[in-house]
Order: sequence, then C-alpha cells, then structure tokens
Amino acid sequence: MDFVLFSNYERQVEYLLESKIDIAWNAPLAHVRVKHHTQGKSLSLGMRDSDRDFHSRLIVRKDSGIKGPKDLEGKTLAVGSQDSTQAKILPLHFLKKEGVDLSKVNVVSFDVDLGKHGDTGMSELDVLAALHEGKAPAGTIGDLIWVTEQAAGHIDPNVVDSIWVTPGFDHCMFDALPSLNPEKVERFTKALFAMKWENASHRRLLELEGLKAWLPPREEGYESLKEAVSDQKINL
Amino acid sequence: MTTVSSTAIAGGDLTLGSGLLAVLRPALVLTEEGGVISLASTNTNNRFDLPRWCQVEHHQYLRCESQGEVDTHFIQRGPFPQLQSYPTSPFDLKDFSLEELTSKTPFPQIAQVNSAFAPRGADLELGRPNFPFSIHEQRFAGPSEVARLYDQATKNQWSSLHDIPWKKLRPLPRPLNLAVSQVMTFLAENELSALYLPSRFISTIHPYFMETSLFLATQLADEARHIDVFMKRAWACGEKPGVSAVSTADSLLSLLKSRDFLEATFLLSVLGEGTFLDLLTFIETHAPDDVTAEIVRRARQDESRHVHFGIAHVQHSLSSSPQIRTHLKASVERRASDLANMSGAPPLLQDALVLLAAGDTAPKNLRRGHDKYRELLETMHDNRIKRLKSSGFTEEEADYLSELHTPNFM
Repeated sequence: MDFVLFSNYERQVEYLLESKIDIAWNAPLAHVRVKHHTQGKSLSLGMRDSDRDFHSRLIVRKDSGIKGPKDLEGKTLAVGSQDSTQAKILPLHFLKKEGVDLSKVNVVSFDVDLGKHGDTGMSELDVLAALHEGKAPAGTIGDLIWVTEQAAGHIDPNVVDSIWVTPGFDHCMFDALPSLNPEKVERFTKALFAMKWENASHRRLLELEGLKAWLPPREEGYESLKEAVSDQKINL
Repeated sequence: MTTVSSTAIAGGDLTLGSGLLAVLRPALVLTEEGGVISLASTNTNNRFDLPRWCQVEHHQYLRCESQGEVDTHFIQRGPFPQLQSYPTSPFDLKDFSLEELTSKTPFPQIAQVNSAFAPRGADLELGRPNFPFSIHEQRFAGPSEVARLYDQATKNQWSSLHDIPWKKLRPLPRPLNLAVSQVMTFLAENELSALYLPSRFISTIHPYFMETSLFLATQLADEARHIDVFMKRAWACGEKPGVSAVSTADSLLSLLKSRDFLEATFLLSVLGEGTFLDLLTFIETHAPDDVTAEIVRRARQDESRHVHFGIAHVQHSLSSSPQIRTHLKASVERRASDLANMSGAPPLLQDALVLLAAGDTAPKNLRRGHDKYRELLETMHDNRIKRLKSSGFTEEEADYLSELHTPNFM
C-alpha cells in the first residue's frame, strides 16, 4: 500500500471518483460528496471512535448578555472556515432550525486552511481566541475542540462559556468506490482494526489522530449534513 | 493501586475547564475498569461536556439524575489509562534511608521492560516507548548493598570550602612545597579520569537499578570535591601544578577504553582506587602539614566507599556468571599489553613521594624515604591481592592480576 497526500478534499474526492486512488480518508463534507456522486453506493470502511456523536457548541463571552440562540440576532457570531462541518455548516444549520433568523446575525467566518474542511481545527482555535480577546461576543466550534481545550486548561472559564449544543452528527470516514477489489478492502480494514493503543508504535499514530480505537462505519450520522448542504446550496 | 468499586465526587459548579478534572481523573484512575463513579454537579454544561469527554477518553457515560439544582452523573471507568501495577503494598518508612526505601521495592534480576525512567513502585501506563539502556540485569548493574553505600555517601559528604583548615596553611621549604604540588597534580589528574569513566556508564544502566545511578552520582560528586581540593593544595603556598607525565596519560587512556560498566568498575574501583587507598594513606602518614593530611584523609574515606562498591559488584557478578572471570582477566591483560613500555611510577611522582617520606633533603632521611616508598609498592601489591581475593579471584589469579596492574597506580 502507498499513500498520497492531498492539500484539499476537493482534489482527493476527484481522484477517488476517477479511481486514481483506492481509498480516501474523508471529512464529513467530502464523505457526503462521495455518497452523492456514487448515488449512495460508495463503501464506508471505518471511522475513529472520536468521529462519532460530534456536537457543535454555541459559546459566548460571559459579559455578552447572550443567554440563548435567539439572543444572537443583532450580534456578531464568529464561526470557523466556510467548509468546516462542525464550526460553520452544521451549527448554522441547527441554529436556523432552532428559529434563529440568520439574516439578522453578523456571521464572521474565520476562513483558514480552506479545502481542509475544518480538519486542522485552526479556525475553531481562532474562534476561541476571538472570544477570549473580546473581538466577538459569540462563536461556534465543535465539541471535540471545546472539551479537549478545556481539559488542557486553554479556556478561561471566567470569560467563555457554552450555552447551547447542537444535535449529534458524525465526522470522518474512510471511503472507497463500490468497484474496489474486495481483497483490498479486506486487507485495509484488517490492518486498520488491528491497531492497538497498548502498542507503543501504534499509540503514537493514534494519539496524533486523536483516537483510541477504530470503529466500524455508520451512515446515519451524516443525514443532518446532507440536509444542511442542500439548504445552504453548497456545491457537491 | 487501590481498588474502589464505587466513588462519589462533589464537583460543585466546576466544569472540565475550571478544575473538575483534577478530582474526576484521579478518581477514575483509582477505580477498576467497570467501576462506577457518581459525580454531583450544579453546572448544567456538564450534561453535554461529560458525555463527550467520556467518549474521547473511553469511559462509559451512564446517565444523569437531576434533583433540584444538582445533577448526579454516573460514569463507568473505561479501559484507559491501561496500567501495569507494580506488585507492592503501601508501607511506612521508619529511618527514611534509601536502603530502607528500596528494600520495600527490591530490584529483581532483570529490569522491568519499558519502565524507563519511571521510579520503581510506580504503576506503568502501557504503550511506552523503548529506551536504549544496555544494562538490564542486576549482575551487571550492581550489588544490592549499593543502597547502603549511597546512604553512607550522603551522610559523609563534606565541604571543600569549610571542612579543610585552609587558613592553617604555611609555606614549606621549597623542595617540600614542590613535592606536595607534584603529588597533588598527579592525584587530581587521576581523579579526573575517575570522574569521567563512571559518568560514561550511568546512561547505560537501566534506571530500574536507580540505586547504582544514585550511588555513582555521589561518587562523581566525591571525585569533583577531590579534584577541587587537590588542585587548591597544588596551587597553594606560591607553587603551581607540577608535571603531568606521558605515562600517566597513557595509563588513563587505557583505563578510559573500558568496554562496559563492570570492566570499568573492576579496573577503576577495585584495582585503581584500591591502590590509591594505600597511596593516600602513605601521603597522610608523611604529610608535611595538617591541611595536606586532612585532604587525603577525607579523600581516602570517600575512595574506600568506591572500592567497597567495586569489590561487591565484581564479587556479585563473578558468583553469578563464571565467564565474567575470563572477561575481567582479559581486561587487565589488555591494559598491561597497552602499557608494556611502562616500567614504574612517573619519576617525578616517585621523587616527590620519597621526599615527603624523608621530610627533608638530608641524605639519611632520603634513604629512609626511599625505603618507605619501596614498602609502599609492596603494600599496594599485597592489598591488591587481598581485594582481588575478596572480589572472588583465587590466590594465584590475584597475584597474577596484581602484578599486571599499571605502575601508574590508577
């Protein structure tokens, strides 16, 4: 097996759809694209434990007076990159469903690492910094960053608080075309699920990717994203 | 690790980011896998944060029961962190010596794989990296009494500044002044090698055998102090250091070529420092002033500890594996062959020692001084044989090895 590193998900998905690569490790938006272009027939091979049950958080400055989603109207909302599922696309989607009139919210997008679909978390750290520095009264980030940054002591609990949580959704997935040789599928998934935390050389890789175990795929966690993509008219 | 099946924690209004983890994480570590912790909290953010945090950390978030303003969260301990428990039970220290402490967690024959710098007794989180320590076995790492020697060393540390009566120093007649500087130069040069050689091997000893590393640290501190006082004495009374002989440099180079810790300990501590004990006794006996006498007396006390360690280490190793005998004999033979051109101690050192024993330059006293010097060489040989025998060599082997030992003493 060999690997190819892409600088953006658009090219990676293109290469997968053209069978120039066998397997793509896709963020949720890229996964939804692959499903869309294969009429739902693409193969999902596996996901991280931490990819399941993502939520996005509405975080506010404690001195902002914002107590709930409706209070955002007339205010500035810092969000992550425009292609970030957890820091922009889904939180805006769920806020709208919650009854927030987004046309009345000044949405400021931190567009960093575009093409990487929010994977690097940089735009979420920018949102957190903007709140800490008083540049925005409210923001949206994924709860993985919210929880891990809190656990690492990087969030000042006297300044920033979380006041609202979106429904859950799932994150990255290994995708393949339905035409992929079953033997290759078998070899890949076997190697993937054989990775163990207690093995020092595996552990280093698992830690770098933020997981403790690989889990089998599931599709229901992407339904809300499909709706949001259609509603926000994001080009697939 | 204490086993607790169920623990209750009061979390107040704390969140993950404001201190809650400081009570939650340690409580989870003390709980066996599958055990349940209940956490009372008045902060509703934890209703969302705790399930996600539990998922990331692989604990099972069971449920939340709310009553009034208090949420009680139930968390089942997951498989992480995976710990390997050290087989010991808690104990109380009575005299707080290293010997007492380490006797409670005695080192086995083989070091715990991958424990690396984790102190013995600590539970090990699994998934640890490999460390490149080459000494994993007790027979190569040191004898069990090394903890006691460490305790002695820490008890008997002295100050080069405060414990030597420097103010009492008075210039001696010039020949004696020069002789003292020459002797001190030789001592400092050899002690520098005794500082460098063991330090090369500390990093090869698995830290599981930390007593040895700690003891060697005291040995290095001892050598540093000796070099310090020897050099001060060499420079005192208007003199400067004497001559460093090529033969001394040759001898110390061959010592520095020791290939492993055991060989280094044998050549340095049993043979070299052992021989130095007799040399230091000789200098103390014939010291022309109190300061010189005090310096070598204190140095000898330290050196005798190093020799004790060396003998115990070699003795223990020889009794555990007979083939080590061949290895150690070969190391002495290698050095002897390297130094085959050397016939005796550095001439200027020899002259200085004779003069110290004579007390002055009167011919009859010099003759007596020379006799004392020859007696010293015999004493060194006899005592080397005793130390070699204590280390586990036969009489015949001991005599053979002592004869081959470097005429440079160290």
